[in-house]
Amino acid sequence: MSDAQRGAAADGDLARVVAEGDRLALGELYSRHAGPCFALARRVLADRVLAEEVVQEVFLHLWRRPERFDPSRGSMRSFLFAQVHGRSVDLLRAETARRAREQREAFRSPTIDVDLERAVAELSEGEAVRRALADLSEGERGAIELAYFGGHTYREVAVLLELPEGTVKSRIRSGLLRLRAALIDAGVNE
Amino acid sequence: MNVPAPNDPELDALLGAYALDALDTDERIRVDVYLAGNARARDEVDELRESAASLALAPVDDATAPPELWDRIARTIQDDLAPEIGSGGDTGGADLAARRTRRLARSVRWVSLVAAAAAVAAALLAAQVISLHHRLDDARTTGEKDAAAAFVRAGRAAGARQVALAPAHGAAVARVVLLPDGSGYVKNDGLARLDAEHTYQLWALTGTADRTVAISAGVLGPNPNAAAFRTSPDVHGFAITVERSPGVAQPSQTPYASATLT
Repeated sequence: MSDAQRGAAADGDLARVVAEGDRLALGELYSRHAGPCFALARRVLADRVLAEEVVQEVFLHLWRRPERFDPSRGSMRSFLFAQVHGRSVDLLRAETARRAREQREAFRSPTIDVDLERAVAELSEGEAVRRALADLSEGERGAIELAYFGGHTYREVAVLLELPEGTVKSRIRSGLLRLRAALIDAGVNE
Repeated sequence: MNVPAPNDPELDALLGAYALDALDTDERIRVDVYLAGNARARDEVDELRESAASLALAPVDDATAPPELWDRIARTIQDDLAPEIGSGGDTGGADLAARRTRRLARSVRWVSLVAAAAAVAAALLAAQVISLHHRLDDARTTGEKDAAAAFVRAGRAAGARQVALAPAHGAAVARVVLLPDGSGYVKNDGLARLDAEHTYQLWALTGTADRTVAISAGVLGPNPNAAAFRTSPDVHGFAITVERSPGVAQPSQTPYASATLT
């Protein structure tokens, strides 16, 4: 595959070429997705070095086990984000990482709603995401953000929000489903 | 044969938190088992994960990956390839493609045990443990790096049998090579790092179809790489459970991943 072909290829086609041993195809996927992956890991971990480690692990894993990406189950972007998030949360939940993060964040104010909406609006797809998020109830949005960006389990979220665990479970699920439907309507996701 | 699991409202309620990686380890394993037999729930998780990915579009102050990061990844890939290619060998794309093709062909032969996971899970719950777990003495003395190299060598040995251990839902997360003399090696291919209170534990499965016996092959730790173990050469499969540290004499959880030897 030539450089021009790589540049024009869909993610799924690049993944197939990666499976044949084309490092440049992996490089193309890296150039497309490493930035947002790094941003996600850094946001969850609040640590640049750990975020680099996570992104490196995820792309190396894609190289070593490319067959784990199944295009029938979602986009490459979603696959990579899920890998990054899962590994970031695993790290975060290690006790040492959590202690360090708590120390780093000791002087932060957890006003996630404001940060999220402002940040999303800066992206090309952000406006649709922002509108979809705005349509969620405050309870849904808060539970999702604490779980996703805060790396908390839903049980921890329930404690933080002083709500029953069942309520938090329900809000996370219903919020994500409503977000998905809204983004499909807006043409952001297929 | 995998029997479709009926809808379970209690587990359905956990799917959102599952998609956000917001479940405790025990609950995550329960959902994994549930998803293995319920296509509707799997589809919902796929949808929920797409939603989660949309959340990740929100940037932090700097959404640019450090330039040197790709250099590190590329160097690691080169290091990965070096032992397989051999000194002075052909590093061309054709050779690599052939190697990849062979690896994928092996992957196909390794039975993905999504279908069998539920059966093994049920068997393990009733399993009788013959011996207490070993502590992977070989692995400790050999070291994980050496064990990883030994894993590769063992896979090429005559009579070696290989299996890929898959979770109830998803692709393989670990591979095991078992040699005719009962020595074996396990390599992590995707086991997520656990918290300090939990550990992965490898079980060798023997006995009959209706009475599986699980023998601990070793406690792998919360973030394993590769390890050596020794077991009976006549085992018919392997399973990995997530247990409370420092490990258990008898499996207390359904398998997180499992495989049968063919």
